[in-house]
Amino acid sequence: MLKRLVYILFLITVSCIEPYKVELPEGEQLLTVDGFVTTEPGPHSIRLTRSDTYGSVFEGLIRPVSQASVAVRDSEGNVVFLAETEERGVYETPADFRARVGISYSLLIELQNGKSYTSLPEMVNSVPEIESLSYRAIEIQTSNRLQNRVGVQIFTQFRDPSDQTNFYYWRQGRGSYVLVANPELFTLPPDHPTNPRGPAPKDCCATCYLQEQSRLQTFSVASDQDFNGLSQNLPVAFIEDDGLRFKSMYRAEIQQMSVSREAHRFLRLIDQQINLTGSVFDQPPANIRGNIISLDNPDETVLGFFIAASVSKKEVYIQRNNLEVRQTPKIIPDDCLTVRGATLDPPAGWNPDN
Amino acid sequence: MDKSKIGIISLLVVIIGFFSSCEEETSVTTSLITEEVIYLSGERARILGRIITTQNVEASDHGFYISENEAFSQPIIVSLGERVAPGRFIGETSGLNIQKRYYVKSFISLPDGIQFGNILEITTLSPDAFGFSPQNGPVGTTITILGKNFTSDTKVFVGDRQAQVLKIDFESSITAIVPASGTVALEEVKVVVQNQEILLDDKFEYTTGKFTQLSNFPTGLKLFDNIYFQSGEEFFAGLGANNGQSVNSQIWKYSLATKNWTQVVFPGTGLWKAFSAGSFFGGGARVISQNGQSSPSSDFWKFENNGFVKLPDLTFPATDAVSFELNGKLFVMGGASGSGTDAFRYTIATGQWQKIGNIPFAVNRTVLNFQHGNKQYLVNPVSKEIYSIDGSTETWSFFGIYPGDINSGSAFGVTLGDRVITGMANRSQEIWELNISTGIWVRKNSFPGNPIARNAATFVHDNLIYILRSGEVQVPGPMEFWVLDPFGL
Repeated sequence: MLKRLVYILFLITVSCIEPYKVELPEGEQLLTVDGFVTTEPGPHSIRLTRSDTYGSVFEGLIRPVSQASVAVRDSEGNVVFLAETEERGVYETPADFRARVGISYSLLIELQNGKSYTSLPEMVNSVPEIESLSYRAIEIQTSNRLQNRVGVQIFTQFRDPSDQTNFYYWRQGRGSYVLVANPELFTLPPDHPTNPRGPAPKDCCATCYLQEQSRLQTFSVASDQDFNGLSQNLPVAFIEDDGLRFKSMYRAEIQQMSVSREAHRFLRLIDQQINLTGSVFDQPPANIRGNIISLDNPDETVLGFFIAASVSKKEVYIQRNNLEVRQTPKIIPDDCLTVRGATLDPPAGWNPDN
Repeated sequence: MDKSKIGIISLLVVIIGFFSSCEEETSVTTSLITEEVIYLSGERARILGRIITTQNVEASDHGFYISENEAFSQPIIVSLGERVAPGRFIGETSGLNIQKRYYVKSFISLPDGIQFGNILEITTLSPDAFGFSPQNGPVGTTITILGKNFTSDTKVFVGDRQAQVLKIDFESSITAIVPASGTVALEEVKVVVQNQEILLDDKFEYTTGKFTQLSNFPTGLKLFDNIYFQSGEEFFAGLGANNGQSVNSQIWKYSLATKNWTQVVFPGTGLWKAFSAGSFFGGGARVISQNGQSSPSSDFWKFENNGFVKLPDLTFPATDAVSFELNGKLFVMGGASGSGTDAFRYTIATGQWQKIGNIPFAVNRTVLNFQHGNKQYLVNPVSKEIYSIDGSTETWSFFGIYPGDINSGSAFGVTLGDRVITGMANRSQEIWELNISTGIWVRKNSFPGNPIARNAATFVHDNLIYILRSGEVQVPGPMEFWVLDPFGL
């Protein structure tokens, strides 16, 4: 009996575990179009890339589509050619180009391989002006009970016109803020020959200005089917407190755009996709059909959307004292100019008193 | 009949009734939509249609009907062929007329007949042309005309001559080649789209400059580093070095009246790299040397009354120096001696030489220079900077940058009114025109002859520029004689 038990135990210990390999199908390199033209002065940029197989970043790179002929054509037949910038795959309109309300625009693309693509016409509808922006600090529960997300939610106040159906798209412009440092807390490096980690306060500089270099673009969308013709106060942006942004003052820019019904649908689906949490109630991820069509093969899947929109912009200065909740401030024990991108000069148009 | 049989029969009836229940045939409808016109121009329409159904279709053809009337009589049929799967389809036609109303509907040919979608109404767009560039150039210049809604049969005219259209991009950018010139330099540019003429606001200006080759020089003499001057309708060239190898003592004359070259009697000896300006010449060397400083000559001559008059000797070496007459004075500058920046003034009225302030950069007799008003302009052969010297104050001032080729010198510079014509530096065929009032340089038609030659002499008469050309040493043949009409087409 004992012998049998030993054999059984032996078999258990030597049994193999075969790793389960997930075989991912080879993904198509789909043309992806990303960009829009607005009623703001140019240049407006269009980015052309190729998608690749989902998986490790080393399996495939998102490749820019270079040396294409790209043009924007309006419903009157005017064509504006876009020039490729130093960043491959990014094409820009001339600086004096801006979209006009009441005109529809199409994106025309001819690739080096001779394939032609066009977008469906996108009509530029007028957008109501942002009357004002307001903000408040909010705290968002996370899975980590010890650390909630804290940030500032921005609200836009505007009056929706009653005589038309409106679809709204809000983006954030480039934010900038007063970067507060503590040069008086500077200490010598640990390998200092005579006074490692010794205090060595600096005279300068405690406050600088920093423009956000790159941040994942968050956006909001809405349609006026529930509030047609009414004044609105909608949350349109959330700026997370990283411990530095709101130590003194933050300037946020909100762009309120009027987009087409199709663009709104596309953006709403994108919003759903990027907010998937991994729960069983999530919608399955899928390629969202855009408005770009291959003229050679209408059944070809082309990702992305070409948007033409009118824009209303406004800035709001967020003052630290007006925030009820704040993240624990981060300390920069050094000259604030040591932070990459920080300057002593305020960014263009900085005028918190206005 | 016993009860059990009745029961079995009843059960069978129920079972048969249950399993023989009718299956209702469901008919699948196919909807066809003419969705949207996604592209519309003067002649082209791109239409989007969609077949909506829950199963495959067996269509022998599908596409669009386009017609000028709502009854779709004599339609343009855009046939896209067989179709099985439902979904979107795109049809395109480029046979439309500009500014015309059309009706469009999609169609699908099914086994039970042809089915049409909804009708859309479109009006083709009108063409327009906004401008073109460049706005000047020689015959054969490639110009780009920007506009909108150009049709594939768009024609371009410069004046009354049709230009060759190379391509039309996105129906908004025409690339065309400027045709041969007419009788005037400034010509209207016209775009004809179908039958609509569009006249552009700006005109195209042909670059001017017409070269004609005259009879070659009658002998094998090839002048290098020579002198030349002009007396009315008679052009003189000589001395220097024959083919750059032996000092030449001959001087030849070209008569505009007889159109012949004849040798004239020159009482002096050969001079290599002498200066010449107006009716004066002199200096140079008696032998050819590497640095130009051997055996300098102090001879100084003037041509007057159809004869050569020897003037008092020069008091300074003047080999390879540049010279010009200005404000009643003869200036001799630079050359092989010193640092090439010495300058001397000869007052014609008094016959006195005087050394004046140095010039800002080293020059020699091949430096490009021209005269306008009371100023002589010299081009720095290194930096192409143009400096002028005022004939009265003898002060130098910066004028601008020369845009053309300098190469190793010998470009001519001729002033005609407020225009300065320059060019044809060694191995260069470029000709330039300077509007001295505006300071703007424009290219002119290039020299059509052999560039492996250098200008031996330049003369001006009746707004025509006569150029004597010596082929380089390795180029056989006599000197060529050309005339340039700088404003001719």
